[in-house]
Amino acid sequence: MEAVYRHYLPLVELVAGRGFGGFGGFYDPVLRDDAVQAIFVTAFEEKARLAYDGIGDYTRFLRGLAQNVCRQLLDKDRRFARVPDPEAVTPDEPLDLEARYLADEALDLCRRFRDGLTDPFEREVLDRYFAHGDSEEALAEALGVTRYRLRKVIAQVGKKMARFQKEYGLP
Amino acid sequence: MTHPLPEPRWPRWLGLFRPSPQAKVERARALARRYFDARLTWTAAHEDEARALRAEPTTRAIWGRALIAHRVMVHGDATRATGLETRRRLDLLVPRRTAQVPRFLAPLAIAAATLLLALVGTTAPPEEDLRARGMGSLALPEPQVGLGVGGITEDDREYEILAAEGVSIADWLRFSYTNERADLTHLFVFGLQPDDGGLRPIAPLPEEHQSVAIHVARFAPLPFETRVATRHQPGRLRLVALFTTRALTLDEVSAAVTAVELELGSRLATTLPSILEATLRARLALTASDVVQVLDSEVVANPVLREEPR
Repeated sequence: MEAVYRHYLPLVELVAGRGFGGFGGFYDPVLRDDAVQAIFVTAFEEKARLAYDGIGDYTRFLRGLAQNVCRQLLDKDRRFARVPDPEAVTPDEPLDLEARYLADEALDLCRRFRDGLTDPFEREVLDRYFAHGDSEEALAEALGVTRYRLRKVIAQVGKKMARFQKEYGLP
Repeated sequence: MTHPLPEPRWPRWLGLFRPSPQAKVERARALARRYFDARLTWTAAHEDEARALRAEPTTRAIWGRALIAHRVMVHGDATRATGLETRRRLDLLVPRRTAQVPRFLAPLAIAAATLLLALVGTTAPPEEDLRARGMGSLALPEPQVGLGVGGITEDDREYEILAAEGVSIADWLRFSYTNERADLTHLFVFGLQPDDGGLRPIAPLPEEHQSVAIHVARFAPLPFETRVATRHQPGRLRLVALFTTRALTLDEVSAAVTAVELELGSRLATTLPSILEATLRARLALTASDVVQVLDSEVVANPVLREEPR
């Protein structure tokens, strides 16, 4: 299931983020994430697994399923409804999600976090564990360290992130 | 792991009291901090609570700010989930099977593990047994590179043209790509269609002069669509995708296709994709690491998708 999730995540994100038919997708990243999770929950349910014949193209099957879940969310879940949200950007406005949630100064500060990591090992952990999502096991083997040592570095980077956010008053 | 964050200030199990807006805001902040902190665990109960809070615009904005800050700090792209987020979501979908030992049994478990180690130490298995195990799992899958082509109807329904065995002349073509290799940074897509006995190269858009820049991604859409009727006609359609380490210009590709046409003559339309690929590689001086993909389909006069029942 994990392999299926990782492989098809970009496709599901595409359906939830860009939409289909007359639906333009969930532009709010929080709603989009929730929709993506709802799609995978449905896809991994026994009913959906049994519905797939195992022969046809799974991409096509999953796309159809994702579209159905999005339709259900739009129809049944109040927060996904296509009612104009006074806080939401209107289609006429430029779609700048970063600016919607964070001011430019805060974003610049966030981008500077990586530069503040002077230890190349910590940078490697940030790139491969935090950004790319490598497993602890694979990363420890690739870097030639024990998992215990790796966990210590992950904790260090996590602590530095928390300290950085606190220091600059970031959310 | 201890829980360093404040528990909700309202008794969730009673369900009688409504938390104040301020309490909700504080709880949303605490949960967002926990979610984006790799040192802390995230359970289904946390997720349920966070999802309920994300349903409200104010607390959703708090979550959104934390989300964007985390993404920008980790990889600089606010639109893409980080590895930590993916792991959190995966753990909720596919819980890891970890052995949960009740605390009062911990001393017994330690004693049993010690005894087991002692036994293993006295009866070490032969070396070949150690080598044989796990060798199969070391093989890594080949990185995938490829072009996806979808047909889009007038009413915005999408289908895959390879599965549907054609694209309707009345529809649009939408391209996406999968590239798991960081060294391939450019993609040039063009089509070949019979024209006066030969084949004519068609760039997706008239204003397309060179390869588009691509990055490592799966099912990433290309930033354009093309209306089939504009420059295509019913008949065979051969799509060629060139994933390269350098940018190719339209002139360069046109010259190569003309040269290939001269070389292969009328066989260009029917030749095996592998022969077309090899000839294009030679004419464009592509390296072994560049990827050439040839997709055969057809432009049909009739609609490929039937009208959706109302």
